[in-house]
Amino acid sequence: MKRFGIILAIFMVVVIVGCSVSSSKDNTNDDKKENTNATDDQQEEKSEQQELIIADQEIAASLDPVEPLTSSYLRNIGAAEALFKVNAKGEVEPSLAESAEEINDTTWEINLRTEASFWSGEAIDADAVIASLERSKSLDLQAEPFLNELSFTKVDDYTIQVETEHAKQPVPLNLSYYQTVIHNADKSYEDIDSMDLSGMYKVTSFSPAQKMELELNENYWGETPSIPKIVHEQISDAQTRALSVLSGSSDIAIKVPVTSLTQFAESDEAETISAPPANTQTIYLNLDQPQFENEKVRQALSWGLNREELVELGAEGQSTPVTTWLASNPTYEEAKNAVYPEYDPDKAEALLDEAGWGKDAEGTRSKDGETLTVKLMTWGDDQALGETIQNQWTQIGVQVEVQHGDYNLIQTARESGEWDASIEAWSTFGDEHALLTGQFSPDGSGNYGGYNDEQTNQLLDDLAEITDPQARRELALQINERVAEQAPVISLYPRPQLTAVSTKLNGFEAHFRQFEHTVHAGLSFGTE
Amino acid sequence: MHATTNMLFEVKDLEVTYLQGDQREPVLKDVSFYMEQNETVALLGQSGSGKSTLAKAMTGMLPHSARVTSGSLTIGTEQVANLTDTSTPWQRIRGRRIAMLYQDPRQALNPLMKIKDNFRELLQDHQLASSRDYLQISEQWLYALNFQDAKRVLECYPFQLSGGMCQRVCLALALCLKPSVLIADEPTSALDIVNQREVLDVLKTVQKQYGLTLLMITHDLAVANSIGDRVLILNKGKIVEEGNTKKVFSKPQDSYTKQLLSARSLLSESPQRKSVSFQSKQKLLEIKGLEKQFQQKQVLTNIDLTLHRHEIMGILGQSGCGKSTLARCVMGLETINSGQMMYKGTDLSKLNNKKRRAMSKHIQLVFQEARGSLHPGRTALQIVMEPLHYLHLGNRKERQSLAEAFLKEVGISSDMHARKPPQLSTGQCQRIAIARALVLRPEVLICDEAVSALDMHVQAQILKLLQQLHQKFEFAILMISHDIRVLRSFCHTIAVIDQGRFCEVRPANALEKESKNAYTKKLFHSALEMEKGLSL
Amino acid sequence: MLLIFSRKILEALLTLGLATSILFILIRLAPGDPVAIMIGQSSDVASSNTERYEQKLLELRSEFGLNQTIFQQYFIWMKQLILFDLGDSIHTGRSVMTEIADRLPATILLSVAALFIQIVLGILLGVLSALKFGRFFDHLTRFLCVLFASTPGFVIGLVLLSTFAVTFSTYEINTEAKLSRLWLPALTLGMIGAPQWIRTIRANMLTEFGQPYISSAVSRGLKYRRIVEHAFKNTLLPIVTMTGLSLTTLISGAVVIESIFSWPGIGKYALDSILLKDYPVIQGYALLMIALVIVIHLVIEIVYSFIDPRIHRKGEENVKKDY
Repeated sequence: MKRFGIILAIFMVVVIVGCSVSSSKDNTNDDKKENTNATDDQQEEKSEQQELIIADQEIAASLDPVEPLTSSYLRNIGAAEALFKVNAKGEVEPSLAESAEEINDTTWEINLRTEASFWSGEAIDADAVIASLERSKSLDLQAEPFLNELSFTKVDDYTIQVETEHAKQPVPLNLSYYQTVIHNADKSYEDIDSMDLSGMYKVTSFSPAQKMELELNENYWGETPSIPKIVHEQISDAQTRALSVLSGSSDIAIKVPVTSLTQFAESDEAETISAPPANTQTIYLNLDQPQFENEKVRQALSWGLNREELVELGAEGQSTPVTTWLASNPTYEEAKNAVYPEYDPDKAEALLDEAGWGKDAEGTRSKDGETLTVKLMTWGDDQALGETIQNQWTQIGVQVEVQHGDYNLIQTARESGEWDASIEAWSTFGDEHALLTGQFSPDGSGNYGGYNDEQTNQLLDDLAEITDPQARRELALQINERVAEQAPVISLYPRPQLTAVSTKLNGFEAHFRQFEHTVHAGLSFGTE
Repeated sequence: MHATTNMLFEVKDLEVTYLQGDQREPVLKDVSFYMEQNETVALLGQSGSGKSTLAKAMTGMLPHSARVTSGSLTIGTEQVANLTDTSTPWQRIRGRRIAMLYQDPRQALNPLMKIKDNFRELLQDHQLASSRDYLQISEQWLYALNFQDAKRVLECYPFQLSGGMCQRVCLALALCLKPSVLIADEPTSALDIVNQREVLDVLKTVQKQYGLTLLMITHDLAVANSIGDRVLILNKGKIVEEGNTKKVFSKPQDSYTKQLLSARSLLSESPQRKSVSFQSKQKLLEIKGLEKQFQQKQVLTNIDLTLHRHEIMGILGQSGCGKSTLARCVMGLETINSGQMMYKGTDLSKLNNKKRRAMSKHIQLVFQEARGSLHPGRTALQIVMEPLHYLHLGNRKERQSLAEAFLKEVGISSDMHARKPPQLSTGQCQRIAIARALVLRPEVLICDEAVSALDMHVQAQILKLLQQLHQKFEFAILMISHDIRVLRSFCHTIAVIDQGRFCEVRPANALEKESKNAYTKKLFHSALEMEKGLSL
Repeated sequence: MLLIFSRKILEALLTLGLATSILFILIRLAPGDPVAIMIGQSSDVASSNTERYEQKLLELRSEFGLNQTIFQQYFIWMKQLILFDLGDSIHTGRSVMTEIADRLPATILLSVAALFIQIVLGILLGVLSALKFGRFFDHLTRFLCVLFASTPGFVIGLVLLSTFAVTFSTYEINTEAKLSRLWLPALTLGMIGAPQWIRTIRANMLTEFGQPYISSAVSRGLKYRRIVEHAFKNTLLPIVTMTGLSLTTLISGAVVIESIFSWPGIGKYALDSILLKDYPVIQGYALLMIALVIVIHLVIEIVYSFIDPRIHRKGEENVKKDY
């Protein structure tokens, strides 16, 4: 008994010591917080709440904008800016650049803001901008598609000339991607003291995979935000993120699960905002598999999908169906119902009959002794979607096996060529030529199925040459339609993106690329 | 009933039932008996007779499944308990008025507590000592129970003491509350013969010294004979005979008592073996200079042994002497450190595993724990077929007929072939274990305390069976036992082993007379002392 | 003594070496290329220039030494290890040692707190349940045990989180490891683990109650409390083993709960690294966990011998000859 008591006591001591160690660490944090709060209170007595807490699935993995995804997160929380930005309507606007002008088909001139500076106070002049873009071009593989065909020269201290390899390249659009954020290329991005960006908030503390704290950048060139502090927290569990906003622990939660919608509907604390995102949930078919050789089979698979039901069951109704790939881009909305305007299982069955896949008494289709089967690989949140597709295709006589697992499995299967179909959602916003070649040209990194159609290739080449915006648009639509008809991929709906926002927060703007447009100067706290 | 003036303890009309399935099985029926002051009464009964239930009922320690339907307990003139009443304040009776002594003394003491802590708790709980003077009091009691080194014993844990010492400690713990009645439930049956004597002697002494009334519950006629003034014979929950010990044993009235006594005499036809010379016969097993250590502790030292064809050799030793280790070495269950172990000219210790396993066809083992050595989920027939299956002998049909034949040999009728060990009696289990060993037609059978756990009459039956089988199949037997009676009546030759060494090897009939070894003499003395007066 | 000690150390090192080398090879045999995952994961827009991608892939592979044979890689890793360097994470480029050192304390804190709750609940309810064997309390405890043991941990976690954070607003959801945030995940883990403890302790108590030394103690008229103490003392031995095993399970297996309560522990980090095939991190984590298991088992042995006199008094069997 005595010994047991001793063991218990040891436990207690360990717990208490452990706690006091971590709590003493916290105390210093708290002290700091109180101090800053105190000074902030003096400056700004109007608003009660001093910090905006954003709960996110992930925060920046590093501080260097050329590392994968880092600049996306930095931009989302107002720490980094690119020369241009895309507004909620999909239009490109100047941001860190003051204006841009198209001199001729291959030349642009960009004027910079003389009043803009980095956090360190160093000027964002032509040299700094060019150095930043060159650094991104050489170190960031992701920046490559946007910067590779551009060359920059300094005209004067605050003017840059951009030469493009091809005519009519959308320079402002390219320079609006997060991969092109402007950073001080002379500085080191190993720690928060040396990193140097231009955003309205600057980083004050960073715990990897935990949180990043930011405070107002006093030197900011634009409108000064009213919220003095931003906290970007990594709460990887989607349900917990939702609860954190519901409980008031955070103000914004990015990517909350559709399953939590009812909780928000009942709550006064927070609401969900969903802007249709510019990406398309797409079934990629492996065209090397014999059953997909015949385009009629592929078309049948597209006709045989009830997309309304897919949205209902796969996305809890938080999206709208699209039948062609480009249609989730807000500027190509008209292509939403092109090619496959309705759910038509009869047509699908007819096409399969025509292709020689006859139906037997039990309702399965086969040809030359082979049954018509599809192994559909899904990952992430797409399990329900996969199962709904399975159900729908089974009705037209296609045997479907859904394999839900880690993304690695899909990657490995693709490398080995042993796969039938998989679901993925690529962004559909950007330069049409870049987007479409990436997906449908034989070299495209998003062309998993090995789609190689002469006519499409020709059209893509044409698209590269055309300069007139209207003609370009029409050609893009034509390619989009051609692909949908050939059906190497089957488009379903934009993958929904829900953001939970506290009702105390005013000025939140829904954006089709929400994950990098959360923080802006117009946000404020107020009682409603 | 007997109206005796100094009647101290009386149990009247005790009836106990156990819940079995949905039914209540009577275990004790109409049990009444008395004990006089300073009297020792032996309660003799075989396992399952209800003697332990009786002990529990007298101290209110029956399990939940048991129910007392009638009965009362009187100590002196006061009826202390209506046994059917569940609210009896037993805590005031237990220990203070009735003390208990249990079968396995090592297990009757908390393994994690020093002896002194047992005393401290007990004396404090009964307010007989404070935390200051308890040591002194407990020391006195230990001295009273023949401990030479009481101070050191108090600092010991039970595992550091021998079984006999533990039982004496238990006795000291019982006596220090000065009870008037002591119930000893098989206090010696888990001990070897030397420790048994030690405890019985002490019990006799203290009984006289402190004027105790002692109820000795036992299955052993010798124990009952050596200690009891009177004896009660319990069979199937009923007292079938009672009376003066000598009278009962010399002129038994009840048929059950007669049966018990005849079972015993069967063992004691000593020495029934003629001196047979085996020198001319083939040497089956020849062990030379065998040594075995466990973690630097010497367990077997320089063992020489020769077993001839058809010979029955007994290995006599007390618990912990290394006799079981010897059996395990011969079976290849332990590797030996040095020495030779020849079987028909092949050195067993040098064989690899595969060949060694093939050897098991020739050397088979029967364990003490009959039931525990059988797979509880298999039927009798399956169990006997198993070794044939392992060694790939014959096809399924042949195996089955062979197994059936051997089950018949050991007296298991065909209606029991489909039963599983839990549905069979211990004796039947041991028969099956023997059939399993013999079905391979081994040349050597090792019996490691194969009859020790059995009741007297079952013991006799099994030994008789082994003898018949030995005649018929002509194998050699290595009989390992602590029981001098069993070996003397059963073996041709006896080897006495003490602390891992052979003291002597002699023909069984000559051992008692010719032995000059002090240890052997002590064993015989302890055993025969208790038999005195038993009608042999 | 020294011999035993050095043998134990040698055994531990051998286990460690063997286990890590098996793991080292296994993670490399599993599908997925850490470099491809790192640079491929964020492709937002598909590019048409795959050549540069391949080139970059090769560059990075050689930078992390992944183009060498497994044995060369193992050798390099071992060389680093001798200098107490676990290498840098492929994914973040930060030192694995620092990352682990940053997260391990939080996990250990949570595990120890959870273990404490498990033990307290387990002993309290287990002993009471054994004492009230077959009565209402016993049945209720057993029912609750089955209920909690069969409910997935994340469900319990989310229900508690929702209750205390949203309904009562007494729990703060953020990513800090502080005392005010410890109790709820610890309670959750405690509740998930407690049934096992309760059942084991109850069963052990009942077994001990059936032992002769208990009947013997009862027959001596000892107080009820004493008798319970006797039995409890003997159930301590399995409790020690369970403590060690539970601690290992908690430290290595609290991923789900850590994730739900956004507790900045090592579980999530390890899981992410496994998904990202971040070899140096996986190796470092595995090394640490194996070492931890070995140490915990060693501690169990020591504590065991401390509690059980049969072990630490082994050499003192000399009292047996008395008469």
